[in-house]
Order: sequence, then structure tokens, then C-alpha cells
Amino acid sequence: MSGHVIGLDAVGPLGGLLGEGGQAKVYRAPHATLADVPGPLVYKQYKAGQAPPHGLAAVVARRLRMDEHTRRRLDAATAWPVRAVVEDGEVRGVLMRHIPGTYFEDRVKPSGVSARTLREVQHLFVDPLRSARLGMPAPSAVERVLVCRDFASAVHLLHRNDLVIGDLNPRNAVYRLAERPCVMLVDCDAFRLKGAAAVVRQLNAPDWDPPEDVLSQSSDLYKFGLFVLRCLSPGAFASVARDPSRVDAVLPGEGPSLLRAALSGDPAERTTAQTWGRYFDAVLTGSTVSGKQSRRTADQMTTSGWRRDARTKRWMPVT
Amino acid sequence: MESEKAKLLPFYLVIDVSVSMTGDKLKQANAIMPAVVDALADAPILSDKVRFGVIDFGSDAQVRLPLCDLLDENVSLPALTVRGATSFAAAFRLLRAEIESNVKQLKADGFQVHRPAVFFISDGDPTDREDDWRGAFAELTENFPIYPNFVPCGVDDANPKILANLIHPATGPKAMQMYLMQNGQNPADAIAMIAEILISSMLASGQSIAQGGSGLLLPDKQDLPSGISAHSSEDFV
Repeated sequence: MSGHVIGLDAVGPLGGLLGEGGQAKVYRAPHATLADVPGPLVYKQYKAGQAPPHGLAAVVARRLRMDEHTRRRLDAATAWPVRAVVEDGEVRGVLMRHIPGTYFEDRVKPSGVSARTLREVQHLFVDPLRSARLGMPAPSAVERVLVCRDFASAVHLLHRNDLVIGDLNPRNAVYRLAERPCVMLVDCDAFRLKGAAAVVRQLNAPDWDPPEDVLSQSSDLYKFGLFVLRCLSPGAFASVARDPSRVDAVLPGEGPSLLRAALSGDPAERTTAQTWGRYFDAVLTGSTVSGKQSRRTADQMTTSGWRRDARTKRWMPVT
Repeated sequence: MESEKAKLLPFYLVIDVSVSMTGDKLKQANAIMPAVVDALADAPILSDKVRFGVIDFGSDAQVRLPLCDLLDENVSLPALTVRGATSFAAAFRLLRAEIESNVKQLKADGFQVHRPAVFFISDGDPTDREDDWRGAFAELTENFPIYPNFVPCGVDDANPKILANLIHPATGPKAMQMYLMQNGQNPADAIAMIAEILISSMLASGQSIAQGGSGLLLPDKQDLPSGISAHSSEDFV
């Protein structure tokens, strides 16, 4: 048996049920430990008839072939499938990294019930005052740019490693604001290797469909453009917005044209994740220049107190 | 921009508050709205998709929560109280008038509108004459272009044979279902379970509807809470 596959018996007794969807149930796997994976693991058990065919092993193996530095970055940016789990020669499930606690919000729901909620990026599209009322964070404009910056770097990491996200949607990425604002992609067993068929059928979530039929790195870039648009113009109907002019007043410099390119009908024209990353870096350091109004907005975005530490490259609050 | 025109699903809860609903059943009925709000608070972008309203009925019918965005800060949830008999006819007539004016309003405000969805919960037989409630239901569902997808739910002494008449559409690819409390189940618990079905249906419908898509999604039979059974109109001919 090769290294990317383990037997169900090696997972050990399962812990509590963490979640359930149409395709699978997710349990804690407190007795499973892997030297190459930081922190606790969960076991995603596919329901009968929902187990993906052979491509899963390739997605798992892709991670194991990465050098340690890249793998560490992948593990920070995603809940990657780290081992396929088989029983009687059939794939039954997959081990994944448990999403760290920093991506959960302890909150009180409107009825007064306490809850621990995964901070899905859908919450970033909601009017900040409403989010606060619902017990969720209300990120500032700068924090939103920082989230976009980190998300761009996660997408770039995946694309650079010949991976396709496919179904990028408001529920399969989660964010945190504490320490450094970060995004983590979850449900990664739906990813595929460029040049190979998808492990599970890749779909478009409603309101996230690109103009073309086939999902590729280009459609990832279209969807990332929608994320930028919706994250930076939170409020009523942001979650279904496609009109780039919503953020013309918010994005300084070349931002509006990058967004229009990202949402282009021509897949070849779309803004790459790397270009977005460099652009957001420039916004955060206040170095975007073009036009009087753009400069003013850049100032507004950078004066609330973040700068990049030259040595650690981390975003530091300015005191 | 044409594609910016959002499309909303009007979702109505129509609930029996006749005197037989006194006690724990009423308590559970009153727990439905806060549970729906909590569910939306976990999936807040559904406010860009779904509007929710509540009508109750006893001897008469009243709009208790006008169709709204439940996460709006100005919404206050009504307390349901029992009153009188069980007039299905009053409920159907008021629902028709509400749907007509709500849809007109949403369209005037620039929205596209999905076919409305109705969860109708009752614990007993209608007290109005059969031709009266049948006539009112026909007005709601026939020759009414914006007829709702109608899902009757029965608990306690509700008569399945009567409620089965309310499944609409009753046949075809978009046929709805009826949910019934199973024998021996506590009726108040059954109302809580029906609320779960309503919520999962609202979430699934809201998450699946895109521009052009339509319809109310009901949960698969294997995902129903135990204590509730699903039926099609053919089960009670």
C-alpha cells in the first residue's frame, strides 16, 4: 500500500460528529496522527455511493510530493486531504487537517443561543452593522483588503502548483482576522490537478458561475474576482453582485481595471492571483498612484493603521 | 445592469392558532420564528434570496409578520396566541391577497420573484363548510398565475385525507409533499420537527436558486426527522 493511502483500521476510533452534508459526514479522528501534518485530524466519511473515484489519491499524492516549505504553506492555506482511507480496496473517506480554532467565532445568535460558528467568507459580504448584530465580526476596509491579499496568495499557491479549485464559493473558504488576517480553503477534496479529471464533479455554486462552461484556473480567477467585488462592497445584494462599478470608489489605482479584467468573458484576459497579490500589497503600503481620487481612497485605506514589517513581511498595526 | 436584478423567494408560514393549539403546541409554534432567524444568521447571504412572512388563522386569519427580510434590524417577531375555530377558507383568502400584493410590491421595487412557497401547519379539521374552504383553495391555486407551492403539514388530530387535498402542485415534476406527525408522536415535538423541515427547505432552496432557477426544494425522505413522514397526494386518494 502506498504512502498516500491508509486502511480504515489505522484511523482508529472516531470522535464526535463535526458536520454533515449531502455527500459525507465529518468526524474527529483523535487517534490518527501523521508526522507530516500539523495538529489534529478529522475523518470525512463519504456516504454510500458518494465516494470519489481514483483521482483523490492524486490530490493526496500531490501534497506529499511538495517540498516541505510548499507543503507547510499549503497546510496553512487549505484543509487539504492528507490521506485517502480505504476499506476492502474501496475509498471510504479521507483524513484532513482539523480547521484551527482561530477560524471559529464564539457568538450569541439572535435568539440568545450561544454558538461556535465557522467564519465562512459569506459573512464578509454582509453589511458590517448587520454582521455585528448577528454576533459576527465587522471587518474594517483595511482588514478586508488584507483578507483579499491572503486569499490571492492562497489561490496563487494552488495555481502555481498546477491545481484547480473549481467550486470556489462563499462556504468553502473561511477567514480569521486575529493575528494576521487569513483565508483557509476547506472542502479541498473537490480540487483537481490541472490536466486531470476532477475527483468529485466540480460544480458552480449559484451566483458564482463563470461565463464559460468548463471549470479551470481561469474560472477560479473569475470567481476570485467576484470574491474581491463582494468582499469590498459588503451590504444588501453584495452576495449576488457582478457589477464591478460597485467598488470603483473603493479600489484605488488600477484596481477597477484589474477587476473588470478578472470578470472578463475572455478567460485569457483575467487578472491572475499573483497580479492581485501585488496590487493589494501596493494598496496596503499606500503606493498605488493614479488620479487624485484614487490617491485619496488609498489614503483612506491605509490610514487605519497597518504597515508591512520589512523584516518579517507581516502586517503590523501602526501605533 | 440586467444581471444585477436580484431574484427573491417569498416564503410563507401559515399556522393554525385555533383553541386546540393551546399549551405546548402553541409554545413550539412560537419557537419557529426565532429558529428561522437563527438559521438565517448562520447563512446571512440568504437575505439576498429569501423573504419570510407569517399568517395565523383561527376563526379569522391575520398577517402576523408581513413578508420581510428577517435579518433586518427593524423586524420584531410577533407572539402567536390562540383564537377561535379553524377557518382554512379565511387563511387561503388572506394568503392569496398577500401573495398578490407582496409580489406586485417586490416587482415594483425592481426584483424578480420566484414562485412563492407556503408551509401550512394545522392540528385539526377545518371548521368551515367544505365547499367554502375548497373554493378558497381553488382561488389560491387555480387561474392564479403566481399560485404558491403549497406544503401542508399535519399534527395531532389533523386529518390526512383533508390535508392531502392541499398539496400543490399535486402531480408532475414539481409536485409538493405533505408532512404528517407519525402516530404516538408528541404533537408539540412534531411542530418543532416540521420547523426543522421548513428551515432546511428554506436554506436548500435559497442556496440553490440562481438567476433563472426556480422552485422549492424539500428535504429527501431519508433526511426527515424521525417522527415525521412525507406523503404525496397519491397516498390518500
